[in-house]
Amino acid sequence: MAEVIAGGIRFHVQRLPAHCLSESTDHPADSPTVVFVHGLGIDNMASFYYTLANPAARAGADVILYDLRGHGATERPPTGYSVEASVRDLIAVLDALGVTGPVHLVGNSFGGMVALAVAMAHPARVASLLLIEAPIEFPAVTEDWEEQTARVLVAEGMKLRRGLSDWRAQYSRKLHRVSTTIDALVHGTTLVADLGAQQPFHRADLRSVTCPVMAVYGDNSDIIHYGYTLVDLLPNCDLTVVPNCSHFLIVEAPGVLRDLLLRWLSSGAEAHLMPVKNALVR
Amino acid sequence: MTPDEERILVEVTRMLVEIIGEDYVLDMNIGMDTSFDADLELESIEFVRLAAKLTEHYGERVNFVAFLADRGIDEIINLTVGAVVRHVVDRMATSTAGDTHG
Repeated sequence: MAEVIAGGIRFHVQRLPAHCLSESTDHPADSPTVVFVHGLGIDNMASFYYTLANPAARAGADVILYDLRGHGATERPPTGYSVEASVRDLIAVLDALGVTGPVHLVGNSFGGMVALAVAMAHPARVASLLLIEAPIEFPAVTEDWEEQTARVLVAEGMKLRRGLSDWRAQYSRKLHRVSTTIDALVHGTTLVADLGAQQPFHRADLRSVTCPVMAVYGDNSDIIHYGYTLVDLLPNCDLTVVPNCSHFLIVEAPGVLRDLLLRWLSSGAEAHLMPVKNALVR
Repeated sequence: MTPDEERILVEVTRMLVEIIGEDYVLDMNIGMDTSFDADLELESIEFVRLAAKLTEHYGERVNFVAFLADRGIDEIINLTVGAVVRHVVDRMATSTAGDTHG
């Protein structure tokens, strides 16, 4: 199944059932469900599909990947790009899939913000959070916010595609598609306006997130301070800082993230049980 | 190329046209040596869709998820169409041989 209609939008969804990578047919009925939420711009489920999704399925999790509204192979409606709307989308996708029990959410960048917001709005639906480079607010809106955002989105997209393409081919299909995607998102939807109007999370709401949370940041990330804020506010949050990495952890250290996720799942996402945490926190 | 490979190549080519559009494929003769990256410039998300279409079409027996799971993204993107075709042919031959229902 690759398409799910949720909230009137056609979402691109891929599921990797726990059994699909195992030779054995003997599987516990209570496989954890892991849902991956990707970042903004020209990011899409592929960045998780090729890095963390298969190892999670192989480790016995039922894996769900979906492309956010306006991204990847999901429909691109003109409106509905706030964090709150993205939370509604995620819940609608889970409802459409019949997944009602608590799930482990793994979010990258904006996807981490969405995951955190789901935990605040729908605590019963969330078993744990693994947040990769999650911001908890957007920078203040300036006059050139739109242009700056577009520039950041393109730059992030290019970094995410490191090793995939040859940007010297200026008129290549890929470059054409990247610029088309960004142009359509920035000029054809309310994404930039929605993000510009986004309110920071309330501290009281953050304090209400009681599920286990693992926050992961690169030590060179320009938003690492949000990691310290999360550890400070969330009652059950650990921080892992990965050396020599930037905001693009998922590209720079997929192996570290994979090991972290597998340990996280095998420990039942019990925060404070992870020996790795202090070794990596500076 | 064996008859099986020839047949699967036609089907895989049709899936690729569905995913990336005729405009881009029109001038290209997709063959076993066609590279997903250098020739087709396939986006990683498009490869995800191809994998889903292959599983949908040929069933779980091609186990494309496992095929991808053993490879890094660079390796996946540098694959040729022929590697995918041969994987499908191999898996179908294996599952037919092991299928007691004939």
